Amino acid sequence: MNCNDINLMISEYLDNELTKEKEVLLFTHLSTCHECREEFKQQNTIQQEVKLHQKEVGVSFEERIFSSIRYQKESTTRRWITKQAPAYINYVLGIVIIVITLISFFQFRSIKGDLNYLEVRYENALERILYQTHQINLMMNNMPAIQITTPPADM
Amino acid sequence: MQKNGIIDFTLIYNRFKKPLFNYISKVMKSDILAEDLAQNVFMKLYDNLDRIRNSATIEVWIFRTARNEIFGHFRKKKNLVEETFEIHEEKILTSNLLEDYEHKELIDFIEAELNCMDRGNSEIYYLKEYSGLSYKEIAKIMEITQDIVRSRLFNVRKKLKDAIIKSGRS
Repeated sequence: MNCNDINLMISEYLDNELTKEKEVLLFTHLSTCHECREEFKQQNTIQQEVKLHQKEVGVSFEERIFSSIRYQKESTTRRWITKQAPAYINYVLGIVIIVITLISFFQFRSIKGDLNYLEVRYENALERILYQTHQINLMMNNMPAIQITTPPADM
Repeated sequence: MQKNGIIDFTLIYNRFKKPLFNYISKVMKSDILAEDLAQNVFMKLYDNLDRIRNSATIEVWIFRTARNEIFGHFRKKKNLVEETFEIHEEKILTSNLLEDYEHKELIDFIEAELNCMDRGNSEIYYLKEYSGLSYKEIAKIMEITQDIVRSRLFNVRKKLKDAIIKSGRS
């Protein structure tokens, strides 16, 4: 195991990417090699410096974010439909509409059927009345005429 | 969003605000820009929280979105003069710190070195150190191989160490 390989392993170790087996190899080598130990110390120090020296986020930055969120939240509650409806509601509504349409369709057909039936009955009744009127007319026309005579004036 | 959505958002925000802000700041070399872009990332997080529920992927989502914001910013960069003035102003402020060589801290030196490096290298270094993402996750975000991630980080570390040794610091 040469020191170049070890340097790569040090880098991987600092990245938490070294397997446990390789970690053992690394530390075994470090225990015997002064130069690599120095390398390890230096790299570790650099990493600590970078990780520790992170700036704090500004107060105004936080305020901006949370006031944007509050504004967004308020504008959504002002909307008429406030809650986001689950997707299945659309399917339920669709089915309901289809069912109502079908029911209406069948109702319409049965009403139409009833109307047709009534229409036929009406026409039949009308026909009968006409026929009867015609018969009565015939009868009246065929009856002997009744002469109305005036009684003799000598009474 | 329901009340516990705000709580979830706040928890995630608190966990990532520092690493995210610092990462963007180092890559953009500007705190002002970093605040703007970080704000965009958090607003997008808030809008999409319901969809990113799997906590294992939140880290990846946040830093991937951050990189998208960074690239988006570079694409939109129109008024170059205004931009560079802002950054130039900030650089003047930070370089004043370095003038006092006697009291120059190691961290300032490290940051100056990283500042001089090719952005592609310094970016991946800061991403790794601040985000804590794995080689695999970084490779996924940057669309490169894990080997490239590994070797770039190794190279940055080597350069940093060599520069520090050269400057005679302990």
